[in-house]
Amino acid sequence: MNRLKIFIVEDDLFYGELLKRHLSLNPDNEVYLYKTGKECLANMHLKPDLISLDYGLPDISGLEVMAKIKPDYPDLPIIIVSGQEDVKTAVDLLKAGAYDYFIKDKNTKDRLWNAINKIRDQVKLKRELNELKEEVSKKYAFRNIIKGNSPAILQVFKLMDKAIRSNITVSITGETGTGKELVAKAIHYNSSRNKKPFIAINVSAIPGELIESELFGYEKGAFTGANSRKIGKFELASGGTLFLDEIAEMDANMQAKLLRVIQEKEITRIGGNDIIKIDTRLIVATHQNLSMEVSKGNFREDLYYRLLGLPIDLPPLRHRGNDVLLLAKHFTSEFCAQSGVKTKEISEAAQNKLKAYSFPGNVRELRSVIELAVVMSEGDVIEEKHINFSASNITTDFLMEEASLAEYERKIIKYYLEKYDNNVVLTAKKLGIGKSTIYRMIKNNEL
Amino acid sequence: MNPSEPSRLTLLKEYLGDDPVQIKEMVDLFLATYPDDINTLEKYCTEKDYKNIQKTAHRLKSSVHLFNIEPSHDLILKIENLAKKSASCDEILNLTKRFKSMMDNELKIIKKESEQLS
Repeated sequence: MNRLKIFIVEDDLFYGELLKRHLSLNPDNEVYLYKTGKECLANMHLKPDLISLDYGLPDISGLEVMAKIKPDYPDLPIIIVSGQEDVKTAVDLLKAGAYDYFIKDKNTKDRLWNAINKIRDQVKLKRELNELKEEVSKKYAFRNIIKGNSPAILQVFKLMDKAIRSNITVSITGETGTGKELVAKAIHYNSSRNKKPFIAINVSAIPGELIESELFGYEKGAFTGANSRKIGKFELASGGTLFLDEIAEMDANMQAKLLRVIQEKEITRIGGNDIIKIDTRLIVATHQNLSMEVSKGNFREDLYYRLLGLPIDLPPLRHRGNDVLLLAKHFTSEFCAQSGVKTKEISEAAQNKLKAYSFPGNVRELRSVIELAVVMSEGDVIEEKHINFSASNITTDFLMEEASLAEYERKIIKYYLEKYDNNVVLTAKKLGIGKSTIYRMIKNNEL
Repeated sequence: MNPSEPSRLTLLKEYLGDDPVQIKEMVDLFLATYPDDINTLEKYCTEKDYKNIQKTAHRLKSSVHLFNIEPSHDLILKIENLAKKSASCDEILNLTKRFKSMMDNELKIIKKESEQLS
């Protein structure tokens, strides 16, 4: 591990030098000795991992030194080593954020040594955590997790880029399996909040009576079974992002409470009186049409406008043209790598089969189809026979919409146009209809 | 030094991992800085500068403690406390003189012990 940088601030040259030499016995310590508070403050750019600070300094007191350091380095452990056996001073310093308070006596050496070892472990854990966070950020670089070149997905990338650069609430809509949570994570881990938590909660998966305690937390004794304080998701995600999936499922009572939190930027734990300020970015998602839910009276209009923020509508896979193949190849590589086999090719017939399918389960379904195909194919090529779609009846799914024949015709032509990159000649040929039919529909804004 | 008395260098040895070179260097540092400190303390006593008497006594206290000299430690602690209460300067000055004479003897012992280190 990297060395632990320790500042000793001690006006007694003899005592300071002794501490420096003592702590330097551990080669993992890099110890600096300063005689005054000002000297210590002037060297803060060296970024110490901890400070051993004498309370009674000749220029400024330990309390003042700490007050100047803490705003810029709130997590830096400062151990006060003092000759003052004054309980009030000790309490004041601990309240002001000191890590510990030691009286200069026979035990100082051992206490300091032990405290430093404890801090060393904490610093090591913190460094490892930061490295992991960096890795997660790289993993969620959105070009790494959301593959595609279609105009529809490129538009999504543009909006995500805007979301990353701001703090605006983001509302993600899209059919099931389009990757709403992935988009939310990518926005968080690429934003300035990426060092703080990303907390996801599926509103529809939590019973209505529990959602409030999940979001806001509760105090001990707030209700039967509340045996200890619980911190809610809003508080946990403070400084970071809270992702509320399936927001349309939230009941009316909870919608009112959520609206208040968004407006006031503060929460109160259930059974508590303290008002807790929060700085939590909200990203919400739903597979439903939220404005429709507002019209039906199922969702509060005021909350809808508060949550709308930057809307990102994720296109269904069937509207993403050749992204189907790009994703299929990406998943093939991923699953082959996981199985430790050479990346398989996808035969032309298998590709055509994939392109012809509507993927009601979107990217999630494609991923499963490819996972199975990789397993089923024994050679280096995934053939048509290895591509198996789910048991659901595609025709029945399509007919579930109960549209008119003209509407079905319009949808089919629109689908094929998107599939063949708006190539009217090719679309007409594939569907066995005249080009003029398509041109007429385009002219009449039917497509 | 009475052979039954604890070594003046016990704590220093604990701090410095029994390294004779480092122990000698630290003893030399104390012997070099102590005269200034005691002279300053006397000066503040004559000037009735309680705040600085307290500060200097406080600083000397931790060094004296590190040499295992209990009587001198108790005396310098008393000086610090009296200065805190702004007690009679004559009393503080008398105690400082006593402390100085006690320490003169102690310094000889410390020096001797340091020289005996292999």
